[in-house]
Amino acid sequence: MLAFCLTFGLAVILTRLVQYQVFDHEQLETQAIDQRIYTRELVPPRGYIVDLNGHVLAMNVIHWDISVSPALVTTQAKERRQLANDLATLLELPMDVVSATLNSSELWVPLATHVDYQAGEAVEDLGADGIMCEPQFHRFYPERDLVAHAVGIVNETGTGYYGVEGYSNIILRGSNGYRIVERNPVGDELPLLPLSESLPEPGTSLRLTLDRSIQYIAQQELRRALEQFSADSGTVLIMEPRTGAILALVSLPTYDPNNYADADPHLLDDPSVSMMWEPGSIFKIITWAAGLDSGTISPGTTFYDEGALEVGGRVIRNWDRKGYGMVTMRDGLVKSLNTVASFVSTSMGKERFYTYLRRFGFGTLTDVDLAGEGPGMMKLPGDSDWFPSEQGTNSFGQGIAVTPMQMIVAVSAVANEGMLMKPHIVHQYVAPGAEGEEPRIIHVDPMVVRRAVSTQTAETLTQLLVDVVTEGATKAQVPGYRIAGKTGTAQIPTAYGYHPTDTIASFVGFAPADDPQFIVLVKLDRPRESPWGSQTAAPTFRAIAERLFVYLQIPPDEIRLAQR
Amino acid sequence: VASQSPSGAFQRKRRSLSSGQVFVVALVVLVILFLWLHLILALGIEATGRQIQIKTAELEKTRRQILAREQEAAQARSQEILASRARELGYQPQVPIYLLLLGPADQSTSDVGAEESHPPGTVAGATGAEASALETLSLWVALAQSLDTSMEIETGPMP
Repeated sequence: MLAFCLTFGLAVILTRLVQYQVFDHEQLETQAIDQRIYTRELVPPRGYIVDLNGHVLAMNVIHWDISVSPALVTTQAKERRQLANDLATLLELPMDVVSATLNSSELWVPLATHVDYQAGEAVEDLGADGIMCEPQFHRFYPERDLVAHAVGIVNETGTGYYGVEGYSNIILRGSNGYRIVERNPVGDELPLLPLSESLPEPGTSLRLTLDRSIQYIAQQELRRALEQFSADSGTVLIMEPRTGAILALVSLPTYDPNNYADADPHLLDDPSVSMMWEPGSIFKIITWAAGLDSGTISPGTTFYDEGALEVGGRVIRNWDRKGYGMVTMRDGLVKSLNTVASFVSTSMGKERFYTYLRRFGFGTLTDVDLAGEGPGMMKLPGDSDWFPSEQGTNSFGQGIAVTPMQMIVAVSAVANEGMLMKPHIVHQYVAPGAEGEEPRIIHVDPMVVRRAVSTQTAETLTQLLVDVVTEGATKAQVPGYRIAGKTGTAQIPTAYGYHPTDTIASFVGFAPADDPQFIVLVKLDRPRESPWGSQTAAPTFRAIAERLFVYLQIPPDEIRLAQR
Repeated sequence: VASQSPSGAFQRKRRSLSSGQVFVVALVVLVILFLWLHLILALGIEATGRQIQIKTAELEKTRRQILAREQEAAQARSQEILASRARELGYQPQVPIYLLLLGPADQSTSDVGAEESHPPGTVAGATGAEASALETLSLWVALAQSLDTSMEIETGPMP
C-alpha cells in the first residue's frame, strides 16, 4: 500500500514536472522573465526656452504622482494610522480617503497626482513601504501670460503645441532612452548593472529673438489701447526689419500657459500667425510699392479723383465718399484714397499686380518658426472665384486676407531696402554636448527670401510713408524721429456683406526711417471709441515706439545723424 | 604463496579509501571556497550596487532641488514680479521730454551731413549768442511742455 502511494505520488510529481518543464516551459519562462526583467523608459528633460537676454521663458519642474500598493503597506494598526495621518496632512487629502486607499483590496491605487515639489519630497522622505513616489517633469512658464502665444504649451504627454513649443517640439523633446534591469518580487530594482541600456538624448534648448522687456512694453501698451478704445482684441508684432528677427509678439486676450486647461480653447491659437483679416489701407503700401517698382507710377504722377472709379463693374469709392480732384500719387497715399489705389493696380495690369503681391509673400506661408501658421487668402486671376473688380478692391486691402505676420514681413521688405526676409523667432539652438563637452550652439542666420522691390523703390516709398505720418497719421509721430508708416481701417466681412459699423484698425510703421531698427504692427479689433486706425492704432504705435526708442537707446535723428 | 592477511587488506583498503576521502574533502572544500568567494563577491557587488542606488537617489534628489531652486529664481525674476516691485519702489516708465525746435526739423536726413546737423533745442543756422539764447529759451519751453501732455498734433480721422 505504501509502495503504491509512493509510486502514485512520484508519478504525480513527475507528471507535473513534465508539464512545467516541457509543455508550459515557454509560457512560464516568459512569465518569469516578465516578473524579473523590467524595461524602464528614460525620459530626457525637455529643452529650455529663454529670451534674447537669457531670461527663462519655459523650463521643467518636478511634480509628483503618489500611488499605493496596499498589500505592501505595514500591517501594524498604529503605524498604519500614523502613515494615513501623515499622508493626509502632507497631501492635504481627507483622512477617510487616505485610509480607504491604504485599506483597498486593489493591487495598486493612485493616491494623488500633480503633487508639488515640497509635499512630494516629504512623502518620499517618509520611506514608507508600499507608497510609491514618481517624479514627473512638467513644463513651467515663469512669465505666465506674457509670452503665451509665442511660446505655446506642452500637454500631459510631453508633446508641445502652438508657438515655439509646437513648431520645435521634436528638437525640444529630445529622444527617449531605456534601461533593462532585474527586480525582486516586491518590485525593487536589484543593485546590479542593467542588462541593457540606451541613454536618452536630452532636448535642445532654444534662445529666442524675443526680448521679454519689449514684449512687456508691447503687452502693456496693447492692454492700455484695448481699454482706452474699448476694443475686443488686438495684436502687436515687433520685428527687426534688417534680419527678420521677431522682438515681440503679443495678442490679447491671452491665457496662462501654466493653466492652459482652464483657458478658452480659442485663445490657444496665436492670432499673429493663425488669424487672417482683410488689412484695409495698410495694404496700399504694397500697391504703391508695386506701382513704383514696375515704373507704372512715380510720386508725382497725377490722377484726377472724382471720388469714384469703376473697376470690373464695381464702383470704388473713397473712405469719405469725396472726390479730391487732381492729386499726385504722393497725395493719394497720404490721403489714403481708394480710387488712386485702384488706379495704380489697374494701370499695372493684373499679371504684374498679382506678381508683386506674390513677391511680397501674400498667399503663401512666411515659414516663420511658429506652429499653426496660415497662408492667408489671395485669389488670383484665373481662379473660379476671382472677379475683375478684385483687382481694384485688393489694391486697398479688401477681398484679400492676410495674417499679421505676412503683413509685417511684407512691409519690412520696404524698410529693408526691398529685400524680403524670412521671419524667425529662434536665435540659437543650444544642444547639450556629451558628458564633459561644451554644448553645441547653432546660430540662426538671417535669411533673405527674395528681392521684392528695388532699393530705389524702397527709398522712395519710405519717404512717402514718412509724409503719411507727418501729414496724415500724425498721432503716430514721435518728436525728434522720422517715422514711416501707414494706417488702416478695415471693414469686417460677414456672411451678408461688410459689417456696417465694426472695423479693424491697424497701423504699421518703422523707425528711424533712414535706418530702421524696428517695425511695429498694431492691430485692434472692433475699437468702439473710434473706428479709425489713425485715432486708435496710430497712438498705440506711438506709445510703443516712444518706449522702444528709450529701451533700444536710439537717439533722436539729429543727434544720431550728427554722430555719423 | 603467502596468503594476504585480513588486516593487511583492510589497511590497503583503508589507505585507498582515505585518499578518495581526501579527494572528496578537497573537492568539498574547494566548492565551499568557491561558493564563499562567490558569496563574498556577490555581497561586495550588492553593497556597491546599493551604494550606487543610494548615491543615484541622492543625485536625483539634488537635481530635483536644483530644479525647484531654478523655478523659484525664474518666478522671482519674472517681468511681472520685477515690474510690480519696481512700481513699489517708485519707478515708473519715463515720460519723454521733447525739446522743442524753434524752426522746422530738417527732414531730409539721408543727405544731412554731420556739419549740418545741430543738437536738439537749437536752430540750424543760428550762431553764437543767438544760438545760446535760443537754446535757453527752447529748454524753458521744453520743460514747460513736458508738464503739458497735450502736445500731440490733432488731425482728422484717416483710414
